[in-house]
Amino acid sequence: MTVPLIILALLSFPAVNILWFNESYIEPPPQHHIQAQEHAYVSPDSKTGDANFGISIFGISEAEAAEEDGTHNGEHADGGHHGHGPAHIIAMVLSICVAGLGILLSWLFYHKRRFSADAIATTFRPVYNLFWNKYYFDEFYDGVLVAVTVWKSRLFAQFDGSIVDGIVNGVGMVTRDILAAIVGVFDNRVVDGLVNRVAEVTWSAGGRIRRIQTGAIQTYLFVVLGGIVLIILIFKLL
Amino acid sequence: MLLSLMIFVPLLGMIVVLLLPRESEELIKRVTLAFTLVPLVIAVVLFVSYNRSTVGTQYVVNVPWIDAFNINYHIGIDGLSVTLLLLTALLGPICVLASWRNIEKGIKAYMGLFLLLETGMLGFFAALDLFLFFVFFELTLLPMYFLIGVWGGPRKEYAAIKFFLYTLFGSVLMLVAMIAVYLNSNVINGVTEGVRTFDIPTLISLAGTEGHALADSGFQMWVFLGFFIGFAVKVPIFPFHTWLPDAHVEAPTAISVILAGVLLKMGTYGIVRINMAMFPEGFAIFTNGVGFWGNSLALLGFINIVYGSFCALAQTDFKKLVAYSSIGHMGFVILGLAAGNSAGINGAILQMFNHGVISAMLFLLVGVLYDRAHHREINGFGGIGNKMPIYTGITTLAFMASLGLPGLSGFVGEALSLIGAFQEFELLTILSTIGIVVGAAYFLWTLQRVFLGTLNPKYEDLPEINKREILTLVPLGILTIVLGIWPNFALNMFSESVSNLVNALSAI
Amino acid sequence: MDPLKNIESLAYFSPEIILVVFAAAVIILDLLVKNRESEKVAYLSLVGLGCSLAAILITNSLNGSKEPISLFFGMIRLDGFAVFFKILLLMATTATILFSLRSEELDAKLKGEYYALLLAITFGMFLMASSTNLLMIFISLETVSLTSYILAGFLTHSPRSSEAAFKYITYGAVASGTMLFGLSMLFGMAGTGDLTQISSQIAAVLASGGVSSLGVLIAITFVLAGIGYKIASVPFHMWSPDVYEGAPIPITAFLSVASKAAGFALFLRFFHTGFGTPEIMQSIDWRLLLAIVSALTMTVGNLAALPQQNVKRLLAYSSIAHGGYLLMGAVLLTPEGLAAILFYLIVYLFMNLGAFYVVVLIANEAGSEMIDGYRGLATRAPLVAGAMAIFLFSLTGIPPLAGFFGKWVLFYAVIGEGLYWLAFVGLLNSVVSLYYYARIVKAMYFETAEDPNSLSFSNGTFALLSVFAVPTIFIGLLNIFYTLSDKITLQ
Repeated sequence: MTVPLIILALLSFPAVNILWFNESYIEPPPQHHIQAQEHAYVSPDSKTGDANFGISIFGISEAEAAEEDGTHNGEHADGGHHGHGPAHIIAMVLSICVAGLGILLSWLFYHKRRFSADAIATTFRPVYNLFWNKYYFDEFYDGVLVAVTVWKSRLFAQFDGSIVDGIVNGVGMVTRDILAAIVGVFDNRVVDGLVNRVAEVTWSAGGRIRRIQTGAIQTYLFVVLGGIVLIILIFKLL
Repeated sequence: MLLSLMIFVPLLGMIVVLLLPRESEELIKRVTLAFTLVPLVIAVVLFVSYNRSTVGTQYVVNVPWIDAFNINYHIGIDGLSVTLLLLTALLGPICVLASWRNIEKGIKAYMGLFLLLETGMLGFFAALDLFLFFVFFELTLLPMYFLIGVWGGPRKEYAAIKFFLYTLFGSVLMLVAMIAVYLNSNVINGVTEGVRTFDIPTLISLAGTEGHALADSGFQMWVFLGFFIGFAVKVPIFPFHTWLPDAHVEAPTAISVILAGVLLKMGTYGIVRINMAMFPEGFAIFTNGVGFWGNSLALLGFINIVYGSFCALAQTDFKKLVAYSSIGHMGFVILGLAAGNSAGINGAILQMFNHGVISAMLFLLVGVLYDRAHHREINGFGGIGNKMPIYTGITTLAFMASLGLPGLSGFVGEALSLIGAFQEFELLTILSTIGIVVGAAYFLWTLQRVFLGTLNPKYEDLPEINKREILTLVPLGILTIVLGIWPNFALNMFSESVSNLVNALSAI
Repeated sequence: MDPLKNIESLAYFSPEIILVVFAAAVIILDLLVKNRESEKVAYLSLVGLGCSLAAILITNSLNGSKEPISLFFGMIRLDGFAVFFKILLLMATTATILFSLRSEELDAKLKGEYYALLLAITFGMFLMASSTNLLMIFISLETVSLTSYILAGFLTHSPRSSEAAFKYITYGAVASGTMLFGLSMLFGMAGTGDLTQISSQIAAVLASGGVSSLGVLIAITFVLAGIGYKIASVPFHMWSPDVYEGAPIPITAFLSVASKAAGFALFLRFFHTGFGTPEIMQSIDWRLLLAIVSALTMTVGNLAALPQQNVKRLLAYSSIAHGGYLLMGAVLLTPEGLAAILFYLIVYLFMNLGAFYVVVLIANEAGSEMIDGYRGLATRAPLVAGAMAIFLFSLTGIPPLAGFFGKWVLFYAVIGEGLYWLAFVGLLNSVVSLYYYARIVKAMYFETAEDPNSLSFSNGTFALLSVFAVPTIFIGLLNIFYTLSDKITLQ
């Protein structure tokens, strides 16, 4: 199973490339370019496995994408330059300070062991607990958002399972067991029945004509004379 | 000459077979096979050497036959006929192989009649003289009657005479229309001049001549109807279809293959060759989309698709299911033809070829199962897939092709037909897709009931499909795959003729 | 050309004279030979037929101009039409004698008379095909009728045969009596019995107000009763199933082909030469009426044939139906219609006689005339069954057999006159007829015999069978047969 899949995956790259993009009559959908370019933008030169795979399934290389749509790339390059104002410098300095403070504290606590982390934890138990439980955010999330969502999706699933799928199954069943059966019977009884009926009527007409042929010569002669009279009458009327 | 050779080699084969001693059955079968392989070789040569870039007929032979009525032995091929000739010639040896073991009595008569049937079919697709066309059309009746009636199933007598009466009824109307065309073929502007003719190309050009009696739209309408009913019985188009389930079910496997593969195509081929090409005005009356009559042909196509599919879904007999599915699939041909545009007609013709190949496969497969289990009750099987994996694989391929899975041939023809039809009859085309869904339903359901699930203990020892049977199926299977991914293989052959026809139709 | 006098006519009358001479010779020979050598009598009558054929060909070539010649002061006429029918009748009689040789129904003691009667009836039919005088028409018709009454009742040991003969006589007497009455009325009105002059005479009398058109009409209808009885058209057909069923099979075959052909010859002479001229048609247009009669005839024949179990009776009804098809061509009054009838008669001769020959063979071998007796014939006697299938499908009109081409020329002629309705009726009838013909085929091919032993036939049987089967396959496919009737006209 694995070997064929690998082969298939390998094949997919050139195959899709040839079949999809090199055919002139099908326009390549534009969103693929954008997606490809986003990947290119996220990791311009690292070519991480993830990004690479994402691109390859569309069968297009970054270089190609860039080449194909130069103007879009240009816009993104412009976007990369914005944000060199003073506010950013303050933010940079601040964040470096905060980070430095954090590094200093942890160096004091865990490397130098200047303070006992356990002691402080017992002293500030409630605060510690709050921090340890990440402000109880997960609990809040589980209790409120997830429960409601799960309850809702159960509801939807139930609706889908019983009503929507029930309708689908019902349609399937009605089509298969009732509609098709009715059409089948109709074909057998009505359409084919009509054909057989024509045959029967023709046949019975034959039987009726045969009954005139009584075998009695009187009948025959009566028909002759009647026929002559009838012919003269019809002649006169025509 | 090559074409005449192709048509009459099977007839010669019939005479040879009838002269062979009754006892040497193996020899009879081999001789028959040889005589059906010759047309196949010729058909392949014609197919390859056919000049695709021109519209006119090729390999023409035109010699006088019955002078008193100016009837000629006029044959020739264009892209459409060469495609169907290839189909017919291909199914010939396949059917002989399929009859190798399961015809128990009278093998000599069987093979002789089969060869006569082949001559009729090949001649029909090559005939360019209306009278000759009719004679070949009818020539298939006699052998078919005997092949169903003598070698058929339990209700063979009923099925055989029903087939015969139905078709004869249709061809009677055709005969009247044919005589009417002949009688009017030398009347221009109310003046009779020159000789009458049965020559199809001549009649086609006359029917387009201003002031000619054949070009009169009222005349064309009636003559169109006469021919149409004749062909409709053959296609078959609802409500003239009820011979088909009986004939297919009772006929021996190879004959079902011929019935579905070739005889049904004779109806649609006739509609293209005569009704559309010769009576474009009449055709327009029934397909111009105005009012009820303007939609009637498309409506018939739609009814065939949906009605045939629903009937198929209701069947529990495997062969009957395939038979009704044929009615449904021929509906796509009618719908595509009714569209009268390039996509529609190309799709319809491609569908004719594809259906010939796929339904032949399906009937062969049903036959394989029947030969082993001696019944065809779908619900009586189950889990066969474990016992006959190769058989199951080929069946799945045929089912998928028939239900229109993209990548296999059935899809391309149906899709093109629907694309063409959608441009002319939106609502009917949309509704027709119900047929595709139902088609998928009955095939998948059958697949499930016959091949999946737990194995019915009765079929513990079911032998796998043998080499001879595989040999009959493989060429058809290859064709379904090749035509699925490379439809131009066939489309190239007739697209020129079709565009010519479309131009003529759109000129109305 | 002026009509020839009696003595001058004799040379042209030699075919008929030869038949009469041989009929007498057959009776004398019958007295001389022993009973079990009755074949000799049959061979002598065959020689007579051969001589007659030679005489026909010689007299025809004597008449280099190919212009019609009137003989015996205009009583009978020698033209292409008559020659055609005479040859056709000779072929039918030859076939009948060959059938009779193989038939086991007939009483060997009576065979001498039997063959003499066959020659005599042929003589009568020759006259029917060539008479152009009202009196001659009646005499020829009566010659044929009287002889056929005897032939129909020839199976002395069979009550069915006697009944058939009795019904035939009674029916025939009424029909020919009615006809004679009609003929005398016509003679009274026209003052002449000559068919070539009668139309102008009657037209003149009608114009002068001497007689009303109703009178002429009644007279024509009375004559139609006699001719209709010969060709078994509705409503004068009712004798034929009973007589055909009761008569010996070779005679049934003979009546259904030769008698019908002669009847049509008479019909065409009377209605085309006598009453088909424009002057008569102005006041009395009988075409539509006879078209209706034709439609009824084939419909009644085909429908009544459907439920039959007796093959002979089935073929009797089938031959009524074929009379209806032929009548379609006869009412058209066009050269195409005439050519179609003549061509159809050739085809009909081969296929119908062939079918009856198989009935003779099966009656001999299986002892049955019922469809059940044909069960499994395909395995018991494959060649006979194959030939029978060919005849039956040809009678239905399935290509590529000759019957199809026969019907084709007929329907072509009918539609050419714009009678689409008649063509439809005829074609639907062909479809119906398939059903009962196919019932025999079904019995032969699809069913199995109770007695599985294969039947053996002599080589002569197969040879005779192929004499009918081969033309039934090829007549329509070959060009030459269509031109046979080209030069034959009725004026």
